[in-house]
Amino acid sequence: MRSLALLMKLQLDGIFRFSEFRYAKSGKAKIAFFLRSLVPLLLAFVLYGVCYYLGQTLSKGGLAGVLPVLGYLLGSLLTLIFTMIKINELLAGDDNALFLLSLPISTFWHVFLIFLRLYVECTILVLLSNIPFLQAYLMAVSVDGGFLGRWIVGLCFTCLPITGIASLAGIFLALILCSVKNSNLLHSMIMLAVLFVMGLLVGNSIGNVSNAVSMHKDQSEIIRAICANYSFGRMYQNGVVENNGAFFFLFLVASSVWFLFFFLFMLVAYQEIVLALRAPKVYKTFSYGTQEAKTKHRALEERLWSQWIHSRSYMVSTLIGPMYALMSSAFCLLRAQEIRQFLYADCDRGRVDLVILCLLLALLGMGSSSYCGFSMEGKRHWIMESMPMEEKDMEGLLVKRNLFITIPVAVVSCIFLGLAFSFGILESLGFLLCSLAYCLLTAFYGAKIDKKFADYSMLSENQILRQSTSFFLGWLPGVAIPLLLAVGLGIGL
Amino acid sequence: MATVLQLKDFTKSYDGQKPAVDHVSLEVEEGEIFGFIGHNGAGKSTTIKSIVGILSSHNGEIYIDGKTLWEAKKECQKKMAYIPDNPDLYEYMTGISYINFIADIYEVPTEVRTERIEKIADAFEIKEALGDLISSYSHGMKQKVALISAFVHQPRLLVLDEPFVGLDPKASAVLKQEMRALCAQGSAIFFSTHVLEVAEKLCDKVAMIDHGHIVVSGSVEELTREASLEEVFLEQLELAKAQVESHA
Repeated sequence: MRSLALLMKLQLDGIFRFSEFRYAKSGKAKIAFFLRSLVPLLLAFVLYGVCYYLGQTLSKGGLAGVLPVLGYLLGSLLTLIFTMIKINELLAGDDNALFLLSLPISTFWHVFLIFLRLYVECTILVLLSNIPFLQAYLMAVSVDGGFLGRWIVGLCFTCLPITGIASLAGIFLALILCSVKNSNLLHSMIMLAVLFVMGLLVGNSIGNVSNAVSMHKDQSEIIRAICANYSFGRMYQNGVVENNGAFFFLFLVASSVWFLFFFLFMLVAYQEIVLALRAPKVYKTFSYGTQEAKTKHRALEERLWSQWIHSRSYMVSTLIGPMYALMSSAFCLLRAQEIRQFLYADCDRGRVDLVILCLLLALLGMGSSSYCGFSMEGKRHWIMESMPMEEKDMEGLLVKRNLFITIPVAVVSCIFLGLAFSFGILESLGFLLCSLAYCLLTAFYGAKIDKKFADYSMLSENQILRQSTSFFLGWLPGVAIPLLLAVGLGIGL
Repeated sequence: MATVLQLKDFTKSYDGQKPAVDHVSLEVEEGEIFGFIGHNGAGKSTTIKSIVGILSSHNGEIYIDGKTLWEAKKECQKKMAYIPDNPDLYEYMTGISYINFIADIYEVPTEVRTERIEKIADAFEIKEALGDLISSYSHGMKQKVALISAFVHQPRLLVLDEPFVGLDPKASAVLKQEMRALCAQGSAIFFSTHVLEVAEKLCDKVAMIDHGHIVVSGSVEELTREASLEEVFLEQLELAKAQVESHA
């Protein structure tokens, strides 16, 4: 029992990191811990804020009825993504995994405690995304006590099955395969199991939406049908879902589904399993003669790109923003008339345009990858440190890579938005210049911050992206400042 | 013979108070293999990391081929190769792509690198696995790839931190052979170890470090005239301990 309590303490320590603070050697280490703790707290705050704003906006647009369903959908999505990213670290990717399994504690308890840890973390995420939706819903619709009970039960079950299936499948697979030498294959098998679950969910969603579209012609009816097909949606299908609002909601559902596909594509395309299977065939036939020498600048640049492509979390986290920017602007162009009608109705056009610009900047800010360039070296920073390379070379290459990703997106998005909203030449130019300037600013700022706050003790890219100070100080302002500006401008509309 | 590495009153402290390495002075000449001996936490890795420019802000001077490390850091680093005690390499690269990456950085021409890689990889018996991802390598294989990448640009000064840990007996023998061959070409090697038999057989000179201080330094021949290196080491440790106690 004592061993079990110790193991539980270990898992809880993994979430809240009490020991890191308690046994910190100096005041500086405690401050660093405090700063790092701000990352999840502020991300949680941002998540809450975004959900609150979204909930209020949808509620004002006459979409209060779909808020609880949307909350559950978003919660499910977050649970899925979180479990997928996390599962590798907890057992298979943990350096201490074999040590833990060698302890005189039954495997069942190991599995249970890891599952419990994931469940606790996922529930916190789901609560953070659902409470603001509930707030908006309660303001618009009067409910009885029974509803709250159902809502809480719903919340508990939103992440339970998804976390359960994804993590248990992964963990059991890891336990079966933990003696296998090739850990890449092991990780990939876990990820494939999770992807299988995701595939089922995405398939279900597509079937649901296409069924609703084929059965109904009116947009409101389609939305109602989609909601009705989900068990939780049946409770709220009596909410008001009107024409323009329906478009907005459909866009959200579509982007969520697209997001899942995007994630799926990224994971499958760059899985180690693909590389591991391909590598022997491609590289074993190499001849030394074909390994042409490159300039050191080129070699370093290629390595940086290679690092970005192979670090899944890093790449996905930097591509989500630009991809959303492209997708949103393309959507605006495709349904320009309806969106113009929805956005400009009874609103000051200039302010609406500014909100659009701020949102575009926030999405481009998400694409800034330079904030993690030095930090991503992690335990391997000795290679760069002992090399005859100047830090400024690396910094320049990080900025270059960053701009290579964001600038084409900024240009294409501005063209799409200009066409969709019939901007004048000056307005279009202003949009473009602001976007390009922001890309430059976030790229340089990110590289400077990363150089100053790089943490080389981090083992994996997941750790760096979640916990490093450079991520917090580099990425967050680039996204949060324009978002806050957009919220500020949006409140007056 | 020219001095390749020189440490003059080198002192390094992490917290600004108690120094991890205290007033260390030593010289390594070309063609020499220099063993840096000490127990865990004695200050070996700190000295090595400072020599290769990973750790900064210290007192005293470090000269590489007569040039101050902090005035011409990159120029000095170009002449060096460093392998840490636990070489974490880029896991997403294959062995051969990592070696080529290092060869590109140190500007080794294609023909020269091809010949060197083939020769050393053959000797280490890792040629067949060079096309695999580093993430699938064992500790020893990573060590071998790191060593090949160090030998491929034939550095003027090779700095190794516990190079024999994790290597199989055959690979250890190959490494010793390659170290001697590199020194025969005029380079110098500075490596840390706590395996005294290796130091006694391989090194021309050794220095023993204890609690950041050099307690013994000199040629292996002189030091082992009357006793083995192990006996000298233990004797010096006892002396140092007695000194600390008398000060207390």
